[in-house]
This record gives sequence, C-alpha cells and structure tokens, in this order.
Amino acid sequence: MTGFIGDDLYRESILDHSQRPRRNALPSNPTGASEGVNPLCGDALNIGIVVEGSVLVAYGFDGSGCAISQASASLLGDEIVGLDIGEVRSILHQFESLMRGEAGANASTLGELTALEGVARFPMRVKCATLAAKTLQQALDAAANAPSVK
Amino acid sequence: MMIPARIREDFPALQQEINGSPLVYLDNAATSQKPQQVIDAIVSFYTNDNANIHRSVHTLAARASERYEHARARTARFIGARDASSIVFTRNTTEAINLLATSWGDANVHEGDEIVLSTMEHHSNIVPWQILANRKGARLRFVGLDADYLLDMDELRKALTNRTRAVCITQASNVLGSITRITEIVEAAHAVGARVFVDGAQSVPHLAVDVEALGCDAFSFSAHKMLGPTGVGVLWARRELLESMSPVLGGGSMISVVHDDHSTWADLPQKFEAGTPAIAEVSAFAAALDYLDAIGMGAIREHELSLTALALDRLATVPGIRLFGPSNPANRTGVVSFHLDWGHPHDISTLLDQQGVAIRAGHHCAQPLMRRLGVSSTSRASFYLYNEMSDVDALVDGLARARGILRGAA
Repeated sequence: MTGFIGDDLYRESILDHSQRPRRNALPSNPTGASEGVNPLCGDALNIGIVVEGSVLVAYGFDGSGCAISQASASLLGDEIVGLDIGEVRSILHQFESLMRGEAGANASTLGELTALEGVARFPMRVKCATLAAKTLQQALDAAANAPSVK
Repeated sequence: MMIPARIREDFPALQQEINGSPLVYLDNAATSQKPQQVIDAIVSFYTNDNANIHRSVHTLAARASERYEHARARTARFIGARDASSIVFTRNTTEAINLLATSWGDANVHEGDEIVLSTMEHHSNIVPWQILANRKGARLRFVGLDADYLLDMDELRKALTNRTRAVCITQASNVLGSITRITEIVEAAHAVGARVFVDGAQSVPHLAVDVEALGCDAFSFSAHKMLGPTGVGVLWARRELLESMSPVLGGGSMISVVHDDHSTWADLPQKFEAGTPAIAEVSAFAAALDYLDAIGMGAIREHELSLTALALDRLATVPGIRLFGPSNPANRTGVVSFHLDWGHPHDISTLLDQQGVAIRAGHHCAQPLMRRLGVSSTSRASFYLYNEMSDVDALVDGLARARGILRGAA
C-alpha cells in the first residue's frame, strides 16, 4: 500500500462531488424516474431524467448516503447529459464492468467516472458505487415505457 | 476484579494484522471472536465423538448425545433456569422468537389483541410479531424512550391493557446499549395478564442473567455473540408455556408415535427440535460458557463498564459527533453508537478498517429506531471481555485520521 488509506477510494474528485454534488435536484418534468435503495446500509437515491427523442437532455437526483454513493450519482450526470440513450446505456454497462474489476472495461468512455475505479478493490462498497447506475437504468426503462407526452 | 490481559492470547483471530495494522475488533454486538477452547471443542467433537444424537445405540452416538445434552444442562445453569428440558436449541435468536410468535402466537393472539414492543427492538423482535399481528388482525403498540434513551416506563404502563397478550422486549438495545428493567416490566405486564418475552441476544453475553429471578415467560439469545459457534440459538420458556405450545417444524426427533394420519409429539424439549441439530456447535457452546464463567460475568461487566465510560469520554472530544444512548454507563452495555456530521457511517467504517479497526456501520437492523433518532444509519463500536483501553485510543485516533481524509486534508 502506498501513501495512506484514502488514496484509492477517496480521491479528490470523489470528495468534491460528494461535498458539492452536481444536479442534486430532481427535474420538474421527468419523463422517467426511479428510486433506488441499498436495504442493508440505508443508502437511498431518487433519480429523474428527461428524454427527448432519443437524447437524455436532463438528469437530477436527490437522496442520502455515503460519499461513494452520492459522488457516483453526481459524477454520472456529468458524463451522460446530452448523450443518445444508446450511448448512456453503453456507459452504464462499461461502468458496471469497471466495478466488477473486469480487465476489459473500456475506461476511455467513462470520463471522470474512472475516479471510482478504486472501489472495485472494496467488495463491500461496490454496491454504494453502483446504486446510481442501477437506479438510472430503471429510470431509463421507465422513460422508454412511458407513453409519449410530446 | 480484573480481566487478565493474557486472555487475548486465547483468541487466535485477534492475533492478526488487518490492512497493515493490528486488528482492533469492535464489532462484538454483531458477533464475538472465539477462544481456542471453543475451536478445540468443535475439533474434538468431529475428531472423536461424531455421530447423530438420540437415535443409534452405539458408543459414538451415546457420546455425541451426552455432549449435546451436557450443553443443554450447562446452558440452563448459565441463565439460572431450573429445568434443562425448558431449554430449546434453535439456529439463532431470530428463530427462537419466530418459534414463539408462530406457535404461542397462533394459539393465543386473536383479532383485536395487542402486542407491546419498544421502539428500540431489533428487526428480529419486530417482524415476527408483525407477521403474526397481520395474520390475526391484532395490533402492535410501540413504547418509546425517555430523554436519556431508556424505556419510558410510564408509557409502557399506559400501553398495557386487558387486550395486551404479550410484551416483547429487549433486555439490552443493540444500538443504544440501553438496559431495560425486566422485573418491573414483568410486574406491570403480569398485572394485566400479559406474557413477557425477552430478547436477550445483547444482554446474556455481557450481564449475569437469572431468568427465574427476572420472572419473564420466555427468553431468547444466541451462542455466537458470547464466544460460541454460529448456528446455535436458545429459547428458554416456562415449562407450562412450552407444554401448551404446538411444534412448528415436523419431522424426525420431535415425534413420539407416527401413524398414517396423525402423530404424537415427543416430550420437551425434543418437541421443538425437529431434524438433526447443530450437534458439534451446541457441544462447543458448553466450552464457551465454561470460559465465560471462569472469567466471571461480574468481572466481564466491570471491564466493559470501564471501556464504555472511557469510550464515552474520549468520543465526546471528537468534533461534530453525536453520541446515542444513556449518559450513565451503568444503564447500558458496551455498545456505543454515534453519528458524525462530517462523514457517513460507511465511509467512516471503511476508513477505520483501513487502520485495522472493525466497527459496524448501518441501520443495525433497527430501522424504526433510526427513524426516531432522525438518522438513516449510525456507526457503532461494541466491546467485549478481550478489548483493552488502548482499543478506545485506536478508535478515536482512527476517527481523527478519517476526518482529515474526508475533509480533504490528508
């Protein structure tokens, strides 16, 4: 182990995003929304999104939980707003394989989300880092199944 | 009375480094570590005496049965139960409470009846009663805590009516450490004809308990929180109560005669012990009880009181801390829960673990209590006989380092 304990897990951008989360409010007119909880630890996230055509134009979340869960929800928003839904799903897929510690994970598409790669070495904390991704997945499904209001 | 420091040497799991630091194990309310004497008892059972019990007549079966029944008598003696056949071995406290709720509850709780609980119960002393109440159209009433986190006895007395069938209450909270006054609760409950069922999972490991003196009707606890193996729980109940109850699990061991269309039940306690039990683990539990008695429950209590008082003093100096639980250590066990305004319990726990300090973070299977405390989770340090005063220093120093990291000043 080099340096001290926080080096791997609590990188500067994670601390920054957990203390000053971006998009930390739900959109007022979501086309998809979902609530995610980790029942064993009590972390809870609400995610709302606005999808126009095939593009995710807005994302917001609220909730409570540890630094890892809150930072991942914030970092995720930075990487996906403005992208096509297919690209968003691909990022979620890549992120989940990064969290499983799979060598094939394509970090280049993940941008700042790679700050969370250290979590893969803390198996008890992986569910904290993936809560936002899982919840967003459900919100995307909800948006896809919702009747079009436009 | 002092606990000799050398007892740590009896616990092989404590002799290791975790993430480069000596292990400081402060998660005893979840489970305790095991002394070599208990580990040896499991090894000797499988090495010398392994057989199924209460069936075959060969010598090994006799030895195995003897060891298993010795553990039952030893358990009865440890909690002051006069009658060893009123000790039922289950898998854990949860299963013991479920047995009560299912069997006793089914026969004795009806529509409109009430079951009184406290707001500091573990989920295992809430959910079985919830399932029963929902099935029967009965109602759960929760009694709250006073300003010092102790059970509000006035509120309890007001909750007791002629509709109350049972008071299901912890003897010591797994989150707050708060000790309840069982004899007073029994007096009040029995006055309205209600039974008192005590969850002793967090008390028997730490306090001398005499179930006859407490006067309660049933008492449950787990071996693994008191130096024993996992997979062993204990339900003690008054003989007349157990005799009136129907078995929950049917199968081998629990029958007297099996006909094509009906069966008759074995005597107590086999009536409630269907199937092959955890024979090796139950046998080894006797070694755990021998170990605790050799140290002395009085000495263990004194030692934990010193640790708790020191921890409360030292933790109070940590910036941004909120401590939960009774202010007077005499009213609590060695469980110290806290909330920090600068870090989430899971981040705290991970950062302490990186320094070798094992604590619990989460809702501690007590979500109704968490809501009343106004937090989603807490950090919890819990002590046992092998902890040392220096373990408190490791905790407090570890928190200071965690704070530096989470504030970005590492």
